[in-house]
Amino acid sequence: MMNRNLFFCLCIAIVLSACSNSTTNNAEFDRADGEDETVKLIDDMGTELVFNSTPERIGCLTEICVDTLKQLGLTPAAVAGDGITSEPEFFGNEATSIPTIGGSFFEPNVEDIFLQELDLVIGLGGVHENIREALGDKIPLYIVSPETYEDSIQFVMALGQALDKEAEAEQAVQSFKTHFETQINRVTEKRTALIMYGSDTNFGIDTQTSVVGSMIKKIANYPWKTDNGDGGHSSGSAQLSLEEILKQDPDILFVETFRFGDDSPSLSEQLASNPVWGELKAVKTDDVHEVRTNIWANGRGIGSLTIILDEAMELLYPDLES
Amino acid sequence: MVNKRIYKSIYVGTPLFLLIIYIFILSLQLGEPRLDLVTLGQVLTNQFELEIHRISVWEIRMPRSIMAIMAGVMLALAGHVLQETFQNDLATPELISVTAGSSFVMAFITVFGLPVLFIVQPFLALTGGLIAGGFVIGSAKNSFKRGSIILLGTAVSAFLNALIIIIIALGKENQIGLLFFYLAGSLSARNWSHVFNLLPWFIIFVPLALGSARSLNVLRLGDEAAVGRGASVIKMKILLLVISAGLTAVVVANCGPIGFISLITPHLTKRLLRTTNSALGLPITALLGGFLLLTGDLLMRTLLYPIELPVGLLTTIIGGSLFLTLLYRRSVRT
Repeated sequence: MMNRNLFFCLCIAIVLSACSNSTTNNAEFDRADGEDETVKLIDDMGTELVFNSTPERIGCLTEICVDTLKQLGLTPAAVAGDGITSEPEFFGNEATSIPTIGGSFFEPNVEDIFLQELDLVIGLGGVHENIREALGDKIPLYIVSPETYEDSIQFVMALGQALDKEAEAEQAVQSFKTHFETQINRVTEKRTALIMYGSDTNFGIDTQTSVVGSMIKKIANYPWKTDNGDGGHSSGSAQLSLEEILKQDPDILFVETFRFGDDSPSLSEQLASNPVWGELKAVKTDDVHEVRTNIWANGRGIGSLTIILDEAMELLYPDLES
Repeated sequence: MVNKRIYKSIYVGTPLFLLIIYIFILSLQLGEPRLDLVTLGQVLTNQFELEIHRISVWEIRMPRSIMAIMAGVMLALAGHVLQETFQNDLATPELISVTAGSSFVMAFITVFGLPVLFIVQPFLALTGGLIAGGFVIGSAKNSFKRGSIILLGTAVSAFLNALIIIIIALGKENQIGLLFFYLAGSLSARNWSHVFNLLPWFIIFVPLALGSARSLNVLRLGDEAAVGRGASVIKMKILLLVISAGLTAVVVANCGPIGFISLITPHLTKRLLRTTNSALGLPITALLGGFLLLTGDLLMRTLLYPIELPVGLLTTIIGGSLFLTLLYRRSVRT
């Protein structure tokens, strides 16, 4: 009986997480003219945050915050978890000097947040709304909930304006857009790709309406969509039919998973031994690639998207001239 | 009177059996590609050329449907045996902690990303379920009263579920999403290897469960009356618990904890047959379990295609509603 209770708790958490996807990305900024330096910011939940001065100490509960601050030339005052912060493209060795917020991804330690004397905390939609009450009026909480790569771009602009880094934001966005456009134009014949995570039986996929899926769709044939708008990763409550995957028969699989030891069989070998997965073109041609989960699944910002774009292009079209 | 009941179980069992065959054929036809009967016949006799048809029928739909029937039969029989053993209408496999044991192992593997081969994971989950079940049964052997085993099972399940919640709290959203698929109970993407995982347990424990009817009927008289008839009640109960654990553990390990099949089917059987005689009830419970899970899985596979929802969600919704209705009718009658 307890197990059902546990299951229902999980259902509620995931449904809430899924619901958060339906919110519009409406981050807004309003810096009043004249002497009053009031900064207003509206997060993806529609909550208005008001600052009397530009926030300087930003705490990140989600990776898109770390990613976006990096684009703006800022360093987070504190981060939760061991996400992209220590990745070489982000803060690398410097990450060790960034204070960490304890607790878990779903329940960050509020005492740690207060201890860092933060001006602003940025959390993920569907996960971190519940700590708003605990933070009270002391520390504003901004909830970001990107649904597509365009939302990630919009977040850079919104945060850039709020943190008085408009020029850096503008430059980062322009650089991303130009690079993206260049890569799109390089593609002559789109291959069919699939981004999945998990195992052969328990797996989830990124659909066209996910942050990464919406971007990959521009450089590859990415036919994975659902009617309910579930973008994958943020909810996990839906699983695509294996028959549909077989029907579309992807040329290449990007797999977000843990790495096996050198002696262990690779994921493509494991899938090849499965009678159904083994029939896929990608598995037959050994075009199954394990990618960095931190960047591909958790990053969500335009820095991560740039890395994903480059890695995907390299794997999708290895013979393409640069 | 006895003959009348036998006839009744045949009247109920035959259409149920035919229904299972009908739904099974339907489950081979429906999906993407959708096949008419002629094409299905050609695919089954290897006369159809398209490879995707062959894979869809032989490698995806058929093992999954067979798995649904086997798992349904096993869960239903486990529920029936437990409810009759403890004379408790609410007794389910959760009672012996097998479900929590398997779930704990899978949560551990998923959240901590242990480098365990996919093919090995069900066996580890099975081991977890059997250890938890063995602990409950072993601990209760000296005080085998109805209340003590229920309390012990509940306590062990609560302990393991608390550990699962701790693991979930440590996890990240992707890992929790994957764990959701397992904890909801799903038959999605199961193949022949999963069927073969179940098969030896099915061959051993289903006949044992069906053969336990006499013991269950004796236990229904009450412990004292059973002892008076020369039965070794404690040994009998241990054996029945082991049968239930064997039926449940391998299903939970391979499909996750599919809810309510084990709880609701024995009640439906009693209502259909209007008898508590396990010799007549057990085969009908088995058929009902197979029918419910096969039908539920077909619905969850096809209704929202290409999205698949875990069949455990449907069995919980339907089973829970049916159970509440039964409880309500009973309270009205009394």
